[in-house]
Amino acid sequence: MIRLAAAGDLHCRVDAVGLFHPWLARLNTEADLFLLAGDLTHWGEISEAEVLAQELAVLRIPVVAVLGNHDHHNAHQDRVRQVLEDAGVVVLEGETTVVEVDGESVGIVGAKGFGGGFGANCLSPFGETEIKQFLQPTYTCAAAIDRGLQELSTDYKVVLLHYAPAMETIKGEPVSIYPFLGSSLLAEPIDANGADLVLHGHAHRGTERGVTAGGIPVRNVAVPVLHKPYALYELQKAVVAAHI
Amino acid sequence: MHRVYLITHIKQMLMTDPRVGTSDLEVNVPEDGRVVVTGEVSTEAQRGAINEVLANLPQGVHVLNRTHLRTMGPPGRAEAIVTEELP
Repeated sequence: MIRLAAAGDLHCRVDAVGLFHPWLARLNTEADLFLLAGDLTHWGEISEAEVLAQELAVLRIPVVAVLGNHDHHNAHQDRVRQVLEDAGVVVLEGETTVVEVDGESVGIVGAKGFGGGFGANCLSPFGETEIKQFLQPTYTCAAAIDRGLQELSTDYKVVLLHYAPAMETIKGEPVSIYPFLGSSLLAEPIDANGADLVLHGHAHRGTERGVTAGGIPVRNVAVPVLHKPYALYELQKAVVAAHI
Repeated sequence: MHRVYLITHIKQMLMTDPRVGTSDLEVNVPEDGRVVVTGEVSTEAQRGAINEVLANLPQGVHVLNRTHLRTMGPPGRAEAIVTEELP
């Protein structure tokens, strides 16, 4: 069994010094690793990332993160990433990482993701160049998820995103903004390759629990959705009898 | 200004102002011309800043700030994510 803690949308500001410490300290005994689902900073400022890095310093467990749209706001995302990596956080953008815990392994594919909409109402790359450009980051992310899941041969596989890959976990948000909250294009490679759990944030007024079209659990771990500092998950294997 | 455009402008003001900076708030402008802001904020300072930002609206627009502070509970129990595998 591997114990995960996850949270998204911390939206750390420069005045957040000490805000996260009290509950972060508990994680060292409650979880084997901590996953952060983007919007780590509020305005994408380097100073905000530095505050968060100081807050995370209390952790003795691995921390794996993706960035969110807020972390890109001031176009300092590379430096935000660098500050967090200097603090020991593994930041993924289309990449994978593996964490070993007591002889078991969990592989994480992480990326920010992007929008495009869901299912039958998903945007198509048709018409103006701008529409095709809008969808390109989503396709790029989907390809990275596909590649990452194929590469991993770990006991468990987790996909970590900021944007939502399933509509169920954004329910509660205005329907008119669904295409800007995520896309089922991100879920397609997850269902094709298989994964144990998908985590995302971004939709503050969404719903915590859902599944992909293929039935893989999706959890919206945005703190405003959770109404608690983080969610805890235990990844377990159950041996079932083979049907003959 | 038509109330639809007023709502758009107010939401943009609340999103881009560094003291507020959130898109989580609902803004309604009923027929009586009041502006009603609802939703969750993270801090009392953020809540107070909404009034300051909306003080810049045209004279005669009355703002009702009905936002509330987000409550945060304890982390709670872990959810088991169980994957079945063949023996």
